[in-house]
Amino acid sequence: MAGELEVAGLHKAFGQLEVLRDLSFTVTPGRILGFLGRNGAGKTTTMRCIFGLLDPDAGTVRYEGRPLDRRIRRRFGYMPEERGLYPKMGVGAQLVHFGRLAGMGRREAQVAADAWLERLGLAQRRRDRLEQLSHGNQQRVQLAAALVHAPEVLVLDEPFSGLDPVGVGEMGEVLRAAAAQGATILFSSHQLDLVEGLCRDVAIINAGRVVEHGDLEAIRRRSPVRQLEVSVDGRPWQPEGIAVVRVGGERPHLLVPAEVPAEALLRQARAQGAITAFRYEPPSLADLFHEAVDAAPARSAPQGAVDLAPGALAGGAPW
Amino acid sequence: MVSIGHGVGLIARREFVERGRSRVFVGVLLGSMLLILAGMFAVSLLGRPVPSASVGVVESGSSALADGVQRAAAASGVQVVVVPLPTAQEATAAVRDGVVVAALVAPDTIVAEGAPPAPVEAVLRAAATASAREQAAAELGLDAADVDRVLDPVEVQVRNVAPVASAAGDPLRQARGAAAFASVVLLFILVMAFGQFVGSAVVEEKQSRVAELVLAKCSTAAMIVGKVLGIGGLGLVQLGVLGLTYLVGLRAFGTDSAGLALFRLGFWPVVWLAVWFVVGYAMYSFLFATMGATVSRLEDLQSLTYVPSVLLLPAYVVAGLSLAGGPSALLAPMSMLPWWAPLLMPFRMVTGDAPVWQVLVGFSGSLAFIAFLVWFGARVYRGAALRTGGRVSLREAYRAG
Repeated sequence: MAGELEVAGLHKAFGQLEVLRDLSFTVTPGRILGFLGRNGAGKTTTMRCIFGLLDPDAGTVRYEGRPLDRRIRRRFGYMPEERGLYPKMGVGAQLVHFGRLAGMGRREAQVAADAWLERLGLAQRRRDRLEQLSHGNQQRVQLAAALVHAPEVLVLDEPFSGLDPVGVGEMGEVLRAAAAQGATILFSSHQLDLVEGLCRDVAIINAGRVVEHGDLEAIRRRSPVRQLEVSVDGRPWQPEGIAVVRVGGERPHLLVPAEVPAEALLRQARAQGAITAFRYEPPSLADLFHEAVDAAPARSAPQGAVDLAPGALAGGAPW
Repeated sequence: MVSIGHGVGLIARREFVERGRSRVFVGVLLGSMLLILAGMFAVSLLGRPVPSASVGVVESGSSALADGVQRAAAASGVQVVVVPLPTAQEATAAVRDGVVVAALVAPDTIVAEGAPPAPVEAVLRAAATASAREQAAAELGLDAADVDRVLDPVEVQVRNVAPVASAAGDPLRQARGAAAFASVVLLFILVMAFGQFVGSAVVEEKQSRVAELVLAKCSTAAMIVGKVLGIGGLGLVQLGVLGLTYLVGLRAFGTDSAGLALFRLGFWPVVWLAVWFVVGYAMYSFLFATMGATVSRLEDLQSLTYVPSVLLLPAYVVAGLSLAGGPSALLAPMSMLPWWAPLLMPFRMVTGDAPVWQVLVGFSGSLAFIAFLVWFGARVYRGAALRTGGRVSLREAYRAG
């Protein structure tokens, strides 16, 4: 079925602006890779290089060990960040058109288009013009246009942006199902909890370079920090004499160096009173992301601050 | 080689079907058909001969004179109603009362109030003359055939010995020149209309952001060529339907017009016009496609379309001057340059002053120029298709492509 997609040593500059700098990672079939990075980190540029929409200044993209050409790329499915289909064209005709552009026969494309519309609950809208559909339904058609030819490789740029919770659930299901059938899938997103739930692999890029890449669980386990949440007598508790980073944001929590055994923390907390909550686990993807992106040399990490600077822990503080 | 051409047919088909189905296209087509038919109907009403005139004829014994008037009227295409009147007095009264416009009261006398209408007078005169001639022949013992032999002993033919090309006043040449000029103007109108269609199709695809999805599947060259073919096919359909409407109108209303001159050119000149037509359409369409690639919104395209019009203007001036006087000195060199060839070369070919080698130079130059435009347009498109803010300069787009 699908093979491995390998991005090797991509360089791309627009004038003076270096967007990709020796960017390399691989996407394994059957596993979904979350492609993460801040705005402007080079995610969309990388995807455009994969599809030959931009020529990298150096580096190659290979599929099943072979450099890509247009014929191979036709076996790929793409959902660009800038969504777009033909507004005045019928929904069904549109999917057939894209299926055939990907090399399907007319009959085959019709069957596939009907199946996708059925699956996404749009069978009744087959003859409607795209512009007559709601925003959410247009997004569904966009997904179907990427998938209609049963691509071996699926590349989606921010597939979850702009979707309501139901749409997010559907999208997730479709990606999981494709992965279960052995497709090679790569998608970018800023919704890290979604990535955590869907992806077995991640690649985090910063300023055009990959700063973290591989199996998400392995990355979490080998991280030098652990998430810690302790309540003593119903109040949040913080250990003393240990370099602690307080992470704010959506769900405030503490990060402690991984060398500190949970047992030691538990003992210290117990000495303070009755423990009402205790959570000690590898950092979340959000923690890893901040760690990777903020610690990168391109960004200046706040010096000596404890708040919001997990990167300060990388050196290992004495305790 | 692998896949440059992939998708051309599909893209052409999509443009053809989707645009052909659009309300705008169907509406414009139906509207034009109606306009053509209505126009021809109006012209036929205006151009129809005056309604039949009543004329009086005083019969002296037989109805031969009345029949003679009918025959003379039929021969000269004038509609008359013959009113037989018994006496000259009654005929004169009928003229005075306005019952008849004129009356033939005797084989040598026409009565009318003031001057009779010229066609009516001519008919009455012819009838009177014929009747008198018959009578005189009968008195001499001659029959109709003898009379014809005496009056029209030989049919004189005119042979033109002037060389055709240099006959400045040759009506055929002038008709051809006019037809060729008309075709140049028609080409201009269609090229502008469909070229803009191509340009806006390209911009729409950028504007709706679908370009990125399409370009991930096929080459930019395939995309541009497919568009030009699809929309060009639609243009030919439109041209065909309107041409057919015109022919139907001709049958229905019998209107003759200068437009028919095109069909009088003969088979090959029309074929050549058609070939150059396709060449011209392709050339300017690819140019419009290239311009379309550099803008992001339809409004920005409008402000660019004056460029080809202005660049084509010299071709009209030169063609117009050559039609009015002798061929301009600029005509031959300009017609060989690819940019103007599709407009000027067919003009020269139809008027018959284009040597074969010059035609070949113009033709091959045009084809090469089209190939260049496809390549250049594809490259510009590639460099500009994913840029969606304002206008991208050609140079910038070319570099990025």
